[in-house]
Amino acid sequence: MTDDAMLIIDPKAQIIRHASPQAMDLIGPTLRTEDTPLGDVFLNEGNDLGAFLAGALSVTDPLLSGVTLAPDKRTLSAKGSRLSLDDGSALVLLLLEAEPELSSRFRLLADKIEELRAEVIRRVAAEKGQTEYIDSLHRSVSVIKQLAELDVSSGDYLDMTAAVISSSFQSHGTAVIAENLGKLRVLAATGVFADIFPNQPTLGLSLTEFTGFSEAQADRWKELLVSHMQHAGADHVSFANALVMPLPVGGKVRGALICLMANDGQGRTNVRLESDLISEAIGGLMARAEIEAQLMHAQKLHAIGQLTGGIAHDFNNILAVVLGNAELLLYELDSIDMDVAREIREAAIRGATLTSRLLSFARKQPLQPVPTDFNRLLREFDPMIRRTIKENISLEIVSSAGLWISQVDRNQLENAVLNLAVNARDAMPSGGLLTIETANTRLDNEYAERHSEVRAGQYVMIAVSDTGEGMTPEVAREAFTPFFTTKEVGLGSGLGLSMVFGFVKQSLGHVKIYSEAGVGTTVRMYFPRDLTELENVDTGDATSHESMPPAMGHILLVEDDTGVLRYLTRSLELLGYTVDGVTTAEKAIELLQGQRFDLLLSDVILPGGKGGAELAKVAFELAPDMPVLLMSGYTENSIVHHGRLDVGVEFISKPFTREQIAKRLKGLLAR
Amino acid sequence: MTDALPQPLRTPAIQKDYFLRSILRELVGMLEQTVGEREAEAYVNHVGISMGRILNEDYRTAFGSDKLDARQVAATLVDLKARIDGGFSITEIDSDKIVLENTACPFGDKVVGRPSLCRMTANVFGHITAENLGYARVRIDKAIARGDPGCRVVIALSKADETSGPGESEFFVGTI
Repeated sequence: MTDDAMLIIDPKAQIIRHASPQAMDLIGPTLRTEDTPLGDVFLNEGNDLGAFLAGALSVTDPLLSGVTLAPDKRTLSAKGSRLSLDDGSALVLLLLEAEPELSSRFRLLADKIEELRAEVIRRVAAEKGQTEYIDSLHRSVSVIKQLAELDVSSGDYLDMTAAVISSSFQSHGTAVIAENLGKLRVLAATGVFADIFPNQPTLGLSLTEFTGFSEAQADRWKELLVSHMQHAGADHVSFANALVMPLPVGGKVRGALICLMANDGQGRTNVRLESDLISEAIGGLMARAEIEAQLMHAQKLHAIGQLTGGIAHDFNNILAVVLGNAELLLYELDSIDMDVAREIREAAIRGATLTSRLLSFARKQPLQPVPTDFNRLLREFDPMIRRTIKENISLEIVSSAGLWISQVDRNQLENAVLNLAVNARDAMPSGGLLTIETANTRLDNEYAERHSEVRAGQYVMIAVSDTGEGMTPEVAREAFTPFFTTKEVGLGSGLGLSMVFGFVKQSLGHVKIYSEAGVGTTVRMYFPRDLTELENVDTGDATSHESMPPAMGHILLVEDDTGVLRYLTRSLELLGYTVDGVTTAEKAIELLQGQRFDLLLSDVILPGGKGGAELAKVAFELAPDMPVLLMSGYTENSIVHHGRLDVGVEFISKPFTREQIAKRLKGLLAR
Repeated sequence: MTDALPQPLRTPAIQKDYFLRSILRELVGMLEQTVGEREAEAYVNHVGISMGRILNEDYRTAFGSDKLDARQVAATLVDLKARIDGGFSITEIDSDKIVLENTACPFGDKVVGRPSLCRMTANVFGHITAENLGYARVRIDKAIARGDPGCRVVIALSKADETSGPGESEFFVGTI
């Protein structure tokens, strides 16, 4: 009949008398073919539908309006026309359209325009955001570039950092806060902060308290920091628009940057991005400054070590002559005043101890590392320590169970512990507690990155702690420097900790001082764990106390220092040996080619092409059974590799006493 | 501050009435272009019926009568147009018809080219007449909107023998 969606409505009865199939498709199952109540199909809010149908019924011209379907609230376009019946009554013919085509197009167009408008707004906003992002990056890069150009070795690099940040953020007050001796301190300040904090005050807040908050609690640590800033003098400063950013150094928060902004970063939508980038850059700068400072310190110590080693070498030769001649005097001239000669010898021995420590610091002391159980060594060494400290000091040795083994020179380790014990004793004049403890530990990559010369790995730790006066940061920084001492003149050589430092470093370990004035000091020594299989760990030194040997034998003595050569020749002859003395390796080789010797005793460093080590090799070829003993006041790579003697090389340090050389010779000749 | 603002040399034509008529002209023009003249007329029919309903109630109240007689209806049609600046007058009135002529359209010159607006007059007149006199058949013989110098509206009060012819609209009592 029709292709239209058509309804025939009886407005008076409020019934849809007839519905075309298209109308049923359009409206859905609520509409029946015949006699569907009008209210089931259409909404009639405010009688709009009633008025429309009444209007349509009242005129022969069609009326157009919109109607709303009851089930799903869809709006349809409706054209109502009066349908006059033969009996004089009338119905309304309603033609429905889902949407008039043009209206539909216009609506779609309007929707599209609205979408486009929204898209344009979105894109404009995105472009604006991108521009701001790029601006932020430019600003950040500019700041980072300026920071990178700062000389971190200068003492005021943090002041310059604060100035750069202040300028970039147009801040009227910037403060750099970082850890110093466990407490946070205002290390640099500009603007209003410069007036309030001229002397780098501490904030009474430890780093642990400060960093104890999780990332989710970032606001709380900011509040805590601000409250301590206010307490420290900034109570009249408004922190309302303060930008507070953490400073990560080496991956850990070590401080903060506070920037007082003119407004709340208004106009800078990427303040967070900028502050993150810049705080990372400042953290990197601080890390670089720390490493450079450590490196400079290490270089300084290295330079001093070089100097010390050189002095010690010459000094040892002098001492050797003094010592040797004093002994000869004692031996040969019973009639003269023996006290004088004894004093010469005592002085020489003190000098030898001094150079030994210097060599330790210079990392040129020949070490004889052996697998060592630190706990056992400490047990056996315990009486010596107790004799060293005073009665008013309690000693506590805390031995960690299952302690790893480390390869160390036991004598030097004992010396190091003893040195630390003496320092601890002197730091506790009124008594206290001396604790020596051992533990297995691991120095991780992060720690190694922050400390030059440290390799990450497993270490055996031995720590010596006291409850004494502690050190100021300045003292702690210089503690390993040779001849630096806080003791009264004559009470300390200033070489104790230097020896410890040199020994530990030469043993491929690490040493660290933790000290706080008024609380105490802990010195921790870390030695690399020995991972080789240990068959026989023995701490015993097996010191022999045999009496002087009745010596016999022919010794070839090689020594370039004629003073040392003369006294040694005499000393050895007095011991009963026959001695041929020469000053160069070449002369010694000539003699070795012509006759047989029972032992070759040679200095390590000799003039000419060959040194002691080369001479020993030649001697081994010429006389394989002849023992060789090398001696030196100074050891170099010719016999010492990384501070350890080559396997099979016998060595004695100069200066030595007659008894010491006699024992070594006897032992070698007896083989 | 206001004193400092510049004043136009001549008073512009824009007034509230002028402004509203201009809007109406633009809206109807848009409607005719969008849905076509016939469909636009159907929309205006609906609006005209609605307006007729409102005005009828007003004039019944004004006359103090539930139903107006023919003369009251004629007076109503002239008066309501006069009130909105129309120039309608009765040229004929009898039991069969009321004939009105107009010299000034309430929409002014804005009606020219907008013939669908004539449906407003036809529906208002037809609805008021039918509601009071039981039936109306309206025919617009001349229209300013179509370019005629004036309008001529004939309202027949009795049914024709046959269905209404072209240009004629029949109105019935619309109360449901």
